Amino acid sequence: MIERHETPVLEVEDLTKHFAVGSRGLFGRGKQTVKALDGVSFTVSKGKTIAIVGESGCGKSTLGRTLLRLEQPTSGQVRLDGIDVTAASASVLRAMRRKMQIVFQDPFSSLHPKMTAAQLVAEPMLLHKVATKKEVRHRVAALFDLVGLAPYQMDRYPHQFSGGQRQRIAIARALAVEPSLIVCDEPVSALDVSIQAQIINLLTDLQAKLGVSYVFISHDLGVVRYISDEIAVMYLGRVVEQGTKRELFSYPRHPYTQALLSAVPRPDPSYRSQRIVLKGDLPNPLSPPPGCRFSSRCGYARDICHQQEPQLDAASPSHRVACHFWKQLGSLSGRDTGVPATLPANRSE
Amino acid sequence: MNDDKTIVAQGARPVLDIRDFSVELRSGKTISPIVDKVNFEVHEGRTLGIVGESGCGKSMLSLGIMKLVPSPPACIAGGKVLLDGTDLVPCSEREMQEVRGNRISMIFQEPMTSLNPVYTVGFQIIEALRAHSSLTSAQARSRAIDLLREVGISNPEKRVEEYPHRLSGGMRQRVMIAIALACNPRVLIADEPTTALDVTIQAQILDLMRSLKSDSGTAIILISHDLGVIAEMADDVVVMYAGRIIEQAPVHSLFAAPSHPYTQGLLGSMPTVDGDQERLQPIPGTVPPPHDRPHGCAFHPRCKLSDETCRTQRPPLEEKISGHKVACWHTGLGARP
Amino acid sequence: MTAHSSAPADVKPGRYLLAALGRDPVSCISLAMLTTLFLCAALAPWLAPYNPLSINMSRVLQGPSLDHFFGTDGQGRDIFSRSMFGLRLTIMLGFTAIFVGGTIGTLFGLLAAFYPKTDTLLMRLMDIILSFPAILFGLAVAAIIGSGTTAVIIALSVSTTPLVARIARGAALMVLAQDYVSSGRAIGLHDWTLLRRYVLPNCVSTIVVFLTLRLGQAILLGASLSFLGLGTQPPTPELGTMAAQGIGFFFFAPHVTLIPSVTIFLLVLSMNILGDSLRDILDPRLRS
Repeated sequence: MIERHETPVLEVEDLTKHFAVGSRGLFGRGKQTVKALDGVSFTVSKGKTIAIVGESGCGKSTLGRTLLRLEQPTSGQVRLDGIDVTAASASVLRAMRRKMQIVFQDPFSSLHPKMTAAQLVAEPMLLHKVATKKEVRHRVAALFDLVGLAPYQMDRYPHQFSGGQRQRIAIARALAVEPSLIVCDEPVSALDVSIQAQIINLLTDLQAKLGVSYVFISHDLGVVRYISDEIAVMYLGRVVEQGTKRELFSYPRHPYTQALLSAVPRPDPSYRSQRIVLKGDLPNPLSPPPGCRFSSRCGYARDICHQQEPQLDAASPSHRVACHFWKQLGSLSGRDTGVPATLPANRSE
Repeated sequence: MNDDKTIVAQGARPVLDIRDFSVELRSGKTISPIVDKVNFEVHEGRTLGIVGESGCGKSMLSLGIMKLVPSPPACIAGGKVLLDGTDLVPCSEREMQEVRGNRISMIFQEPMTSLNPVYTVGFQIIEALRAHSSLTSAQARSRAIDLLREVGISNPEKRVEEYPHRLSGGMRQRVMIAIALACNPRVLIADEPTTALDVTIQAQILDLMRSLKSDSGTAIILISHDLGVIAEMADDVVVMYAGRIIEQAPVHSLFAAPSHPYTQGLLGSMPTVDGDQERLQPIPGTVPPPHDRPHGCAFHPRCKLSDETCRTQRPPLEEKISGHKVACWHTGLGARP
Repeated sequence: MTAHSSAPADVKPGRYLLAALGRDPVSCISLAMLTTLFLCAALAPWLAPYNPLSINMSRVLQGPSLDHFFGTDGQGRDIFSRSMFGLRLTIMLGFTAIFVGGTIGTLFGLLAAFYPKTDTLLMRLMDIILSFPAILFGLAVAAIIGSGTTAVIIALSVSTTPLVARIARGAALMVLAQDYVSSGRAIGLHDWTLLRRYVLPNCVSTIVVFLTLRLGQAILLGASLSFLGLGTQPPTPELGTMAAQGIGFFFFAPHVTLIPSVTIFLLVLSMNILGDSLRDILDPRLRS
């Protein structure tokens, strides 16, 4: 594994974020906590992409916001280029924001409606003094060109652009201060398929050109497979499986990853009904099941799964799984490895 | 399971027959067609998938069939909607109320907002039942419990008393399906029924819809932007672009040999879960707005194959191989990317 | 990229507003009425036929005539002239109070929304103020600093502040939930810049609409305070004070009370109607 020797741009260590829910009540009772993030760790190398995958409520968006300290973490550390983001003072943090940027999901709410496209892109440059007032317009025009917008559109307002074009503006704004890391929080989920492909290609081209690293948050496994080098699968605030793209897509170990992969509808009518359909809903995050959090929906759950929380175990130097039975499970019922699952599913009605 | 191989009896009358159906948007002096002379049939026990991106007119089409287009500014401009042979277009609002929820019902994308938050789930199902039948309230209640059980809700006797906010998105969509199926409709229109749901929940709902279809024989119109969902569910597929049908084929034929450059483009711009891709092939540009549709073939500004003919003349929807219709002057030139 | 022609929303906001108002006849009449009243108030020193303070005991309590359009009051002063000057003062009282209360209220509301730690403290304080009737405030202020214009302005401002704070807080919370605020934070803007450049401009239309509706109420309240004798002291003409002065002769010279009262009525009515239509046009929540 060559990339493991490179210096990581981003190091995340045991990151935890708890939200207090409900009012405290008159006598301090009744307050509950949601563990939106519970001990998340990973690193991202220069010019690489890690994808954070999971369904709604798994904590992936909270992770993105906490990495940038748009939310204050409860504990843990985030280091960007070796500097601790979590402990930075307000003024140090403001300066550090030059190095880390974010692109949001909904291009209709992520751009200030009363600023022109040029103002939106120029604002971070002027703030961090990357460009002087004189040259800023040139720089904006160059960025417009880079993200595939025409210079004559510079003085238009966001509402005059289509969804895809707005996402290009948001990307230009993120790139304006030459960050080393961009958190992409579902950047293409709100777009049509054909536009989605344009934006994904743009993001990969920009990475090749500028060497920026991405934390790519998404629920779409197809997009993730296309864009990422490494993937972390989250379930109820925890990483349940993490590995390189090849490991995760060809040899998925965790039953949840396997179910997620098999649940994606394929554009191929002959694929029908090869799915693992998970029973039930995501449990209430206020009271996750004891032991393994996935145990309430897992087809293979045994007694130990309901009692003891599995820790991330190394299946290979870069592949980690949090399941008591990953060795017995094989990968996706042996679809790729030819090794059949040795653990029978205990499906009960 | 070979449910898609079910052979439709030759000459059997379709449950729903849409002929030259058009919907227009009228604002001030400009009239823009949103749905432009659309033809298709839906047969008993089969699923018709309608694919397209936002702005292609697929939702307006489904609202148009129910005669629910927001009017003004939109209105049905012509054509026929034959339900078991009777045309719905000339029907009065009162007659339509008899049809809606009874012979044609609909489920929408947003399960969070399509249930009324101030009534229990049971009440809303009972309401739908009693609107079209003479059941007593006790009968309706037990039928509501049965329906909830059919859509896979555990403990239906208890769930019937729950308010919608106590249910998850997937559960609400199940309730919506229960309401839609309450009167054994001939046709179920599902407009992006799983778009707002997570993949694992989507898999559950799709499974449910499939088993309900084979049990009841209801014809389904499934509208989706997701070619994966269509491939999974549909027997026949209609691809729409800018208000028109540009390709129409049985599902295997469509995915094996997509023939319109737009369909090919859609498939080429979809990142797949199986196998690595070199580079996505997006369709350049954006869908034109209804008031500014190009002349000739509406797709020509975004098409690699377009030439003079495409710019000036609109290609007709023609049968190229048996059952596979395409509206393109260059069909056969491009293979699947 | 095909660039579509720019959207119609590019017209000047002022012209758009007038065009929208022009479509509704009731709004048009109100606008005309309000303009007339404002012109009368603004141009009072030049238009008024008499000095509003000059007493003429030989022409006491006369009815409307060509000499005195609205008649004269108990001291023989011209009611037409006094009404014009009174209107001027009444409007000025209302505007000042709305401006002061609006500014402080907006500030409080934005702070409460932006810093959750201050939220409870600020909003409970607002609730306490809100639980006192404005008239009671007027009494209290008048008792401390003495009756007069200042007392009315303070009472009106204080009673307007919590209402505005609530509206501003609600609007700010909605704006703060938008991703673009996070985006501003993510590029490293100071809190203050974020509030001024991102939050305030997107709340301002909601607040302005509320203030125009509140203006009518404030004017009515100011006139009531003056009517009760807590506000402007005679002989300074103010509509509320003038109405109060005529009460003694109400049965044989009703015009002395009725004319200032009707003026207040027309002023507040047209303001309310305009405020309503303004809200329909501007409020983003009512716009489709």
